[in-house]
Amino acid sequence: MFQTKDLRKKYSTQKDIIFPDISLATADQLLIHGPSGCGKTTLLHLLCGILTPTSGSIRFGNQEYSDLKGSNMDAFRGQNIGVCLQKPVFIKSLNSIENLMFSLHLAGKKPDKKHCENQMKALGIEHTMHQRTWSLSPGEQQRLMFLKALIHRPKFIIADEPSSSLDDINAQAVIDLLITQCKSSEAMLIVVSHDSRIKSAFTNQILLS
Amino acid sequence: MNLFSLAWKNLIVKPSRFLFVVLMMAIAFCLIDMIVLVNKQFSQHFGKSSEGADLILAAKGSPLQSVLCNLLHIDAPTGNIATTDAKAFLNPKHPLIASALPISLGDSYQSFRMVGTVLEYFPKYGLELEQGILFDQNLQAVVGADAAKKAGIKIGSEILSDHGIVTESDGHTHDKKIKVVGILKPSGTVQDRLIFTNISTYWLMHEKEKEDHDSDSLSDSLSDSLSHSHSHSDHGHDHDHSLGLSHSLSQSPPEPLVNYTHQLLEYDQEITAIILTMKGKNIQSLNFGRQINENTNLLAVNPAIEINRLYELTGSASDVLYIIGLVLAVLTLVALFINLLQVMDDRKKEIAIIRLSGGNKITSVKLLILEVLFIMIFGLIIGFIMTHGFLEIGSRYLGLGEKYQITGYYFCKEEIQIAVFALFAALIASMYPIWKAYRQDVSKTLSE
Repeated sequence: MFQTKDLRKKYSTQKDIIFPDISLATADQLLIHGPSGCGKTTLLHLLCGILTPTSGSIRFGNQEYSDLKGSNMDAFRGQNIGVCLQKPVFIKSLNSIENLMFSLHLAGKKPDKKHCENQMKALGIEHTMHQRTWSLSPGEQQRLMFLKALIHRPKFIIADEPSSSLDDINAQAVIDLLITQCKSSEAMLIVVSHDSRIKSAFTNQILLS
Repeated sequence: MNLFSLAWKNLIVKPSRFLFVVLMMAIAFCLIDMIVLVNKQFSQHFGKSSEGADLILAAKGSPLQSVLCNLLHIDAPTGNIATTDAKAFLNPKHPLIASALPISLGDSYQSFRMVGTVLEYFPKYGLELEQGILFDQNLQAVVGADAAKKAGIKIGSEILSDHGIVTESDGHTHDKKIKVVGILKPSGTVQDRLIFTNISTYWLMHEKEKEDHDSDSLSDSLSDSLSHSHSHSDHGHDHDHSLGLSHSLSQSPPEPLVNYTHQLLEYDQEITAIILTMKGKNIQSLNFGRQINENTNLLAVNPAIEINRLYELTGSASDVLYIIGLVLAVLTLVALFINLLQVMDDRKKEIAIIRLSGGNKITSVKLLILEVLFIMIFGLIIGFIMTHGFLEIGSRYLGLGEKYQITGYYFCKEEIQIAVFALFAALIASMYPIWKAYRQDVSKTLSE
């Protein structure tokens, strides 16, 4: 369903970063880990389609990333991929539920308020619905970020260091939440992290060096 | 939730920044628009009021004052002229003159100026009756639409005119009642604020006063009274009470009646001015005024020249305001540019997250353009309301309406042109920030 082959990325001042091939089927989960500077973020950006590889291919279903140019890639990403960033980023002028509804709009789906409300209830952050995102606690922001990545029911979820800034209990809770959500929506999940605490949650792992 | 509502929310999340740019835009538009509207109304008003007037014959004095008084009805008259001096120009057979309209000024009713004139005046200025008839007898009046409305004058109303014009009435009211026989349709000219009688009514209004003055003078010196010409210099205008002298000393003088210019030739009286239309623009016509000024007691004024001089006098003030408006407009565009650059820096990550969530490069461009348009539309609407509001206030409370027919309800296509130009200028000023948003590297931004 999702495959990468012979992926390489070269920045002008560095030598080629060579990435191992990835192959995921529906509802598969994968942890990509490694030390800082090994190219985790670069790989994540390649998988999201916001960075173009120097060589190699990325295929999602029948769609080859290299065939998608400009706005087509953006639209494809919006419809099929959900991205959780390490540090949550929201649109400051919108409240929590508006951020979710706007994500639906960008994904080309109807901004269904009821659906957003239900999802917020499911994650226990319904009380933040009309709050500005910067007034939420770090834990609430993290959950809202997950919800933002999942709200449009993508087939592929990519999370960047989801647990690195959390304590042990919350780190485990966040990973459990991600895995549960992906299983329930039959989405593929790739977590990119250097956090060794979450290794046990994934049977499928790739080490970058 | 869509781009439209996001653009709006992005602006109001920092209301002071939004209001600052909007108000700058509004003030810049207001200044420029106001100058355009005032100039336009000014020139239309002057143009309409001086239409068909090639030359004004009046008493010696300031040429500009003569035009302001006799055509635009703003200033005080320069004095009176004797019909004996002007008979040649009142003659319908004059080879160079197409028409001559005599006027007498100096009285008012409830601050509306009264004009003694002839029936030819009405078609000459395209004035039409709304109600009633034009005067054909003495002590009858035809009232301009605005004057009738504001002074509550109706057909059949009887009015007592005040001696003196508008702001300088001496508190003396004439005792002869004038009956209103006609009300004019609104013309959008100064004539809307005037009250018209025939020339001879003007003479009659002052005849009794002249007799009173004469009897006082007779008790002192009969011989002096025959030549005495009492001039009310303290009235601020030279309104001569020797009017009707020849009739006042006779036993039962026939009442003068002047409804048409040619009838004026039968009387030796005084009038304030004659408005001439020449038959052609040949060299003789052009030299006509100069010859009158050199060879007669009269002042001949070319209204076009004087109005141009007036434009030159007021033009520099208008230019200064216009330049201030333009400078402010440029500063507004700079403020808009800086504001957008700041917005871009503040929202770099937001733009990246929009791209990551499915928005494309055009989405961020559209978002910024919408924000610029919101700022501009609000600025222009507020500026538009300010312009027309200030003009209406000026019109009502500073007398600009009465003097120059300036109103806040005047709209012109140039306003739309200014607004469209401002929108384009704002979009051009926004180009660089918009281009930066378009070119933003999402991967690099998210890695920072």
